[in-house]
Amino acid sequence: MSYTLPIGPYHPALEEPYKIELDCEGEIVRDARIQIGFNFRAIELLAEQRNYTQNIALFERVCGICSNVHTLTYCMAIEHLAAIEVPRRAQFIRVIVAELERLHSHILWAGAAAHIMGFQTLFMTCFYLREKVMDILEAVSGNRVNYAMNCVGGVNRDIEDIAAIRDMTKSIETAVSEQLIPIFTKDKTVLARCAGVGILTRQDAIAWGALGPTARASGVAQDIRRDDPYAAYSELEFEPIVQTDGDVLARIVVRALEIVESCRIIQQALEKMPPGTWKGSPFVEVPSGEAVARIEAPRGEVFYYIASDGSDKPRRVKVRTPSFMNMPTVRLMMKNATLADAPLIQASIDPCYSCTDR
Amino acid sequence: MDFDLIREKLGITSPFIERKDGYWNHANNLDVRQMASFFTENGARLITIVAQPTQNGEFRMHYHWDMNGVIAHISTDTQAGEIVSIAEICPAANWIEREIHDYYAIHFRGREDLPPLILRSGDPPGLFYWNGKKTEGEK
Repeated sequence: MSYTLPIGPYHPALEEPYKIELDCEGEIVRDARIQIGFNFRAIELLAEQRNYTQNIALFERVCGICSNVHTLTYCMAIEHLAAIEVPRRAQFIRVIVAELERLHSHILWAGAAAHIMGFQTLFMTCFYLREKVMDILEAVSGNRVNYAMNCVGGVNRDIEDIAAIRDMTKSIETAVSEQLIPIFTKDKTVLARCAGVGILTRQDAIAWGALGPTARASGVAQDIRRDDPYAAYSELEFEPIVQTDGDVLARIVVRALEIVESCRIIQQALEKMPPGTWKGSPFVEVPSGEAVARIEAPRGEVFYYIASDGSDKPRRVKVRTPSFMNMPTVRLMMKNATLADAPLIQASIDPCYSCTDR
Repeated sequence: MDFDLIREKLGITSPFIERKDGYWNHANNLDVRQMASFFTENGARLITIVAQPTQNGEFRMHYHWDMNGVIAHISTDTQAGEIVSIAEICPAANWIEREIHDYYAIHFRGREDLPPLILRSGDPPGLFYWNGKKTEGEK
């Protein structure tokens, strides 16, 4: 029996606006059509009507999970355009906050995946761990969501309580290594739900421009932190986490191991962070021209293009988010999957609808 | 990546300009399908395409390609609001072209269908271009 099953536009499991229509034969999904745009706010158009400083607050609101990466990429693009040097201490602070954001994003996703699998105790464990990261982010920035850490040419706040961050990362590293990774890689329920499910081949990942953990779980060893280093990443030692199976389990393993790697990056950055100034400029003169910047966000590469005519407002800002590139690959993952696996496959790319729609 | 080879293969006369954020070039009458074939065959990844309105009512189309950490930025202009689609050669361009069509009503030649991505079915394309009073129906 063939039929089309519409899911959305409010997704019951992910609890975000998104629609997917599944063409099924019995319990098997033969094809899928994805509809986005329910969160569209025309942020790129709004940016043309605000000055460069006002736009920092605007871009902070592209995403509620990775708000910091958007302001960081935007500020870096302006710094490229205006040839502004960022103090070294600020570069390390940018790394630390970006990695703290990756920690909470990946742990949040692990919890959401556990919830969709019906593994509620694992969901609670993840959110307990994530709260430790959120407490640190709140202590550093004063906020739990929009941290307002970045400004053009530096950061808005220093990091002073180094011991608290170091202790937290060590506790997260231990908990993830001893609890989460063994459960996510050996538990029968997790393996039954995730191994061999929702496969994205390496060839398809490259052709469709998949990014971040979604691409790395399919054997594509790309990581902007290593390939095109920014901030202080060139001074820190880390390895991109790559798996080759391309299934939901591989995407889980990549993110779990990246949590551990992020803890180590933060610990190195805290140790190597030099004294000195960290402040940027509240107002900036941007010459005419164009520039781009990109960083490795929790979900993959974020890319900003800015064109300036020399006025105080940008002539064009383009925001290319990783979920925008990863989401079309869901169609490939869905083909010939069982209907019961559809929600988890969709969730396995860690989709952000707010980022995608902008 | 040898940028002189890229110029030679794509028939671009002007040299690439090296900047902190990559290698930039502009080419009039660029064969974008040839460009897409060259970059995909050489393992490059399409980062995105950026459309930007120009003074003469056309659009500058910036193609950003990642080549193992180095970005090549190549731009060309639309002609009568049109440019050739590269989605068949480079699937990563599929949603990108649909979004650009939604925002600026640029037509991508060679695509059999260009359904709205961000807009809803039946909405007129060109949402970002209402300042220029240009919609697809007015071309």
